[in-house]
Amino acid sequence: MNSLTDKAQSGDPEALRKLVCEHYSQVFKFCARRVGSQAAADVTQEVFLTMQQSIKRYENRSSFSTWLLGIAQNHCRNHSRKQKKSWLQLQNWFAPSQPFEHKAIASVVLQEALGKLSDDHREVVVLHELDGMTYTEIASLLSIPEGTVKSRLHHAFQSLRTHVNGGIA
Amino acid sequence: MNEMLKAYLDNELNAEDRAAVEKALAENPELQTELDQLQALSEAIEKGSTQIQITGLEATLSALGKKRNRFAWVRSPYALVAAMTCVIAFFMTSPFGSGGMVAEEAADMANTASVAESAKMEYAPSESPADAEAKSRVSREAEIPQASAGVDIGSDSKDKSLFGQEEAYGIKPPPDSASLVPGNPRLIIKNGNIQLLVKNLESSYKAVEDLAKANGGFVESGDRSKTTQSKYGSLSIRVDSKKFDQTMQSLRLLGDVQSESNSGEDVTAVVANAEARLKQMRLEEKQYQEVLKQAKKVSDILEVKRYISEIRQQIEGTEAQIKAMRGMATLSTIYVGLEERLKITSAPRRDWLSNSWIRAINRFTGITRTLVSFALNIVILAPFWLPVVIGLWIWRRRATKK
Repeated sequence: MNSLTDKAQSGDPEALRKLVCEHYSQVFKFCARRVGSQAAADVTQEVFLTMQQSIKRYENRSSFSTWLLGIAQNHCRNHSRKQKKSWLQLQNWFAPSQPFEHKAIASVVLQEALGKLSDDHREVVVLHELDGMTYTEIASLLSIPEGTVKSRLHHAFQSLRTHVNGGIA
Repeated sequence: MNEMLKAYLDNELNAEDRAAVEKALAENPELQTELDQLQALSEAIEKGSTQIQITGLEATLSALGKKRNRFAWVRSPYALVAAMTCVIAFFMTSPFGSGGMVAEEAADMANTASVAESAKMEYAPSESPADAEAKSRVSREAEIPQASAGVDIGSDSKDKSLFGQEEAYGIKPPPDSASLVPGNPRLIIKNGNIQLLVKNLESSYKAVEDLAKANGGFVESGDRSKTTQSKYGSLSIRVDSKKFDQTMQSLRLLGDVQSESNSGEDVTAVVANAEARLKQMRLEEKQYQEVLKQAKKVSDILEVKRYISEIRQQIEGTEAQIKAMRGMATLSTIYVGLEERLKITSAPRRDWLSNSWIRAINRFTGITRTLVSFALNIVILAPFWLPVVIGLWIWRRRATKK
């Protein structure tokens, strides 16, 4: 991995290409959950163009993936700001194609519970549950302490659990 | 303990905390239930998440292959409007533009340049005191003959290339003047004015004096002056009328002719009229003399003497006028202006630091003025570019929304 980024940093186009292929899916999904599927392709392309321009500034302080998602996060935020849309709209990342019930949790109730989460809680939930990032990576991406990530996730899930239990009841 | 359940589920706890949670889970069934619920929530979130179809990889790879133009903004319509505004403002600010720099600014810029080039000063030709004096004399001359003699024969003012024969003076005698005094020689008062740029004022001044004497004349008046840039000399010389052209020709050889003019006045008719009146007055005087001899009464004698005295005064006045005119026709007047330019080869000495300081200040002032002027022009041009920019902005905004 490191050797691939090193080669890309030294201007190897093939290494850059491989790097893009390797991370494209992750970045695309990350962007799609934030700006919607329609704008995701354009934003993702901008992310990789930015990566190409600034890859020489990557210093291995965090994983390459985290660094790349940091760029994606900025692009997505700029896009949302330009489109005057709220951040992490629920329909972009939680929209079951058909209503379901999983272990006594109804999708409609869960959707309602997720919609009531605060922005901070929603952010860590998406980053961890859907983007698959570890606590350390989330802390690095959001520039917050790891303990805060842990705390936000705990409170977010407690909130969801309370709401879902209430719904069942 | 509840706080660590989610982290335990996500495998984000250290071994010690993990062991503590496992122990608590074994002891507390409610905790286990909560853990199951958390896991169910995680699974439900994942299950209900939006299905995302990955697209655009090829397009991204293609875009990466192309060298991204960092100056894409240059192609934007805003950049075009900005560039056009800047060009127009530049032409309005620069001295090339019609709106151009005001004369004061241009002079300032010239001063700036002159400071930088002060070591090689060149003085542009300017009107010297001698020039000014000669011009005023010529203008006075142009007025006097018309007022006194009432006969304007004509004048001629031309540059050196147009100078020529005596006929070229443009002297056109009145048609009746020659017929009135058949056989009388023509009486012409000639005046000349010549401005010369000479190499050495002293020697040229002396040469003009000698020239006047050599041509049967004299120096009527003369003066010399000096400024930081030039030395000036002016002379008024009288020469024999017959040698007027010869004298002018000799004067031209003394230096570079800057300007030249001459005028002529035919006073033949005036003198002839004066002589006719003189003859008549003498006849009257003679008749009064006869009457005086026959008068016997004292009152008659006094009366006749008074008449004789009056007519004598008129006779003498007319004789003086005739004599003066003949004298002026005999000796022509030439006004000669001389100028010697002083060559300044070096500027006042300053040390390099002072020179650099002055140059830097002048440049700073010049650039500042230019920038301020440029900015003002852009502001003034706002009625032209602002609507275009606003229109573009609205258009692009609508296009983006679509």
